[in-house]
Amino acid sequence: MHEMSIAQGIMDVVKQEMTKNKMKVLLKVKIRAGKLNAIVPEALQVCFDMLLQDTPWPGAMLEIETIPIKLKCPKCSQEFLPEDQEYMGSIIQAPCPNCGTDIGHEIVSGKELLIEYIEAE
Amino acid sequence: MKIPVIRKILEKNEERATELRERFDKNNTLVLNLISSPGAGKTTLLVRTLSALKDQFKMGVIEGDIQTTADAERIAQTGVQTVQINTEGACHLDSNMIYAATQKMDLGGLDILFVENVGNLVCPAEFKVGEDFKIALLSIPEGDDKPEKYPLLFSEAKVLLLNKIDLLPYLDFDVEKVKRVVKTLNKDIEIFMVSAKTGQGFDEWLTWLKNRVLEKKQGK
Ligand SMILES: Nc1nc2c(ncn2[C@@H]2O[C@H](COP(=O)(O)OP(=O)(O)O)[C@@H](O)[C@H]2O)c(=O)[nH]1
Ligand SMILES: [Mg+2]
Ligand SMILES: [Zn+2]
Ligand SMILES: [Zn+2]
Repeated sequence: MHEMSIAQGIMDVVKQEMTKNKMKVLLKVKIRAGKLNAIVPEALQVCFDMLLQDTPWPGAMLEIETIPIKLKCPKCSQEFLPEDQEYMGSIIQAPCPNCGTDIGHEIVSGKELLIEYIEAE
Repeated sequence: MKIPVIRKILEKNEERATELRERFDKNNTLVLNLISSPGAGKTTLLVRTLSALKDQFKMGVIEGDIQTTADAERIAQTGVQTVQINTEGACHLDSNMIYAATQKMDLGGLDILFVENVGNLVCPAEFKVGEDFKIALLSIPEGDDKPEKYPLLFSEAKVLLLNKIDLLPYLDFDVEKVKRVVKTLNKDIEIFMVSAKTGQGFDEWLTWLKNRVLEKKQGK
């Protein structure tokens, strides 16, 4: 259940941004969460809503965009989405679709945990 | 009004972790973050490691995975400086907890600081605590599919300790498969097969540790 810590992290940043931009009402927060962080969106939503109760804007929305895992082959530089392929359901046993190399892939995306924007007035 | 932000959600934790890391670097203290499922053998491994090295190095332990008080006593019996963090309910350690724990420690001249994280394969991998390296432990009875299910930890760990190899003869565990899977996202990971119970395989692990301490002393 790391969703509570993550919700807390979102709140910390959002509060700073609200003050910095002299905003009164938070309407929405949009975040990007890489698949590798294994966040359960429903759980994060519940935690976020709980923390909102102690703010002046309890009705704010949270939009979570899940970013798929994208790998880059160290040998031929091909980028690919391992989850798109059918490697026995495993997301990391991933031979490169171009040359078959299966060790040392670089993680291009899927690890990010970012606040992209807020909507406020 | 839409306000672009683009900031890391865990930036507060990372800032504090960076501060800690700078302090440890200044002291030339090697800091290792031990991560595994509950019961994989972190405490047992620590006790054996501390006992083997305590005459050579000054070490400390931040214990964040107390299941029973017996755990803390086992570590304390080695005579190594230990600080317990009360992690009741928490599923990972964060850099603030480590900061608070270090306030209670004598960090001067410390060669190695071990952090035993909460037993969990998910979020301890996301929360930096000022460590040089993450050390992942996977025990044979847990099964050989763990790295596929928890890729983040196994992609970030510098070392994978495959523990409880004394049980290999009794269980279906495909060591080669685990090695292959882990290297998909982590080509340079060091994998040591050990038994914290019998001491099997410890030479290589201890040699790795000694070499990292030397490097840290030379400010690398
Ligand atoms: N057979 C065997 N048992 C082990 C080994 N290492 C630890 N154990 C046992 O596994 C259990 C959990 O160990 P512990 O060190 O408390 O795990 P932790 O929760 O990761 O700290 C204990 O009963 C240990 O005695 C090992 O290498 N072989
Ligand atoms: Mg333990
Ligand atoms: Zn957690
Ligand atoms: Zn390729």
